[in-house]
Amino acid sequence: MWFLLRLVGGVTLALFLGLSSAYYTARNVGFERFIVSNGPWTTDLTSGGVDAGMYTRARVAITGLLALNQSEAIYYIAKRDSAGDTLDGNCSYRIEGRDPDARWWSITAYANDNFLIDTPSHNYSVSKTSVVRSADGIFVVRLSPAAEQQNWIATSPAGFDVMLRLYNPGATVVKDPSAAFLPSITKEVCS
Amino acid sequence: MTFNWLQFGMITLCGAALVHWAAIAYAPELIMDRVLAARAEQDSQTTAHAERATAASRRIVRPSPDLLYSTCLFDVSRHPLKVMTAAPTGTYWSVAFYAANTDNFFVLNDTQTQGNPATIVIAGRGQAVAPQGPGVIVVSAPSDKGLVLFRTLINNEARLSELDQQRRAAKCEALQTP
Repeated sequence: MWFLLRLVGGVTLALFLGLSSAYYTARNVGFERFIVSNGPWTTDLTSGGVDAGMYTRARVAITGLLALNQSEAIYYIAKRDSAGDTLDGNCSYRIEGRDPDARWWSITAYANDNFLIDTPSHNYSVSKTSVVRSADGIFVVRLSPAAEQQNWIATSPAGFDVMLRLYNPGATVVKDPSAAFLPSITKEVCS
Repeated sequence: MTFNWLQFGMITLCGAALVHWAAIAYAPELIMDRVLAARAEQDSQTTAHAERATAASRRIVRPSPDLLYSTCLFDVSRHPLKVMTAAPTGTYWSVAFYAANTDNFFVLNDTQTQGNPATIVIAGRGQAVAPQGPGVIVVSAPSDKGLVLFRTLINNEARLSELDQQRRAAKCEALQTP
């Protein structure tokens, strides 16, 4: 009886430890050498490609299934602001920059479950073709749970992250995604 | 007694490591399998044109609300699949093929076709494909089953209805082997 209890306990514990560590690793840990950072943004160079390692494949399957390979699109994700603090759903943020070097780009906010954030206004994203720029070409996008007049992406108090998609990125971006000129993310006000 | 607990702990940790490895190694195929099964339930024989993504879209993680997605399944275990793209005008579009392990093994966009529609044949490994017309691309799939995903960029909200109509010209059909 004591042996059986230990066996069941051991198997349960092994399953729990194995599955939870696999999920956490695939979702959060970027220890593979193909992950690069650029300010608050990170990208996996092998995402979607046939050279992806097993951890990259698992991460893409959980957090970004059906991604395109790097020659077609580069996906940057920001879970932190430019100061290194985790994005907080109770704060508003300012994303400021110029157009990244790509045929088309978009910035989209996602809830913690990796789906679009439920908002009646459907302000899910801002893109190269929808963003309003100042005369010098600089744009300011606001991430906030409360509505803004323009360039607004709705966020969730429950938490969120942001994805920057670059479709048909320029050759210099493909060559060195860590050196691409990408917008900054600055915390503004917290409730 | 101490030795037994140590033994128990070591065996449990080894088991956890094995479960961790198996989960990481097989998660992509399991998740992709679920997506393919759900898509097959919907209608496996035709190209499906999904509505524009909203917060209610829960089938695929991280959908882009700026793209229109169309899909068809491929199963080249018996016959190759002929994929005919649409050619929505004045915007980005692409067609991408995904293997059962989620790898994006082929992609073609409107710039590469100079805006023209394209025909691509997906063949299984070692599968013979009868000669096709000029310009037809033949691609060898790394797995028998997978997904074809067409993307059309909504680059102008006023063109949504027009682009939605144009993307519906995309088709997939089984090709008889010689």
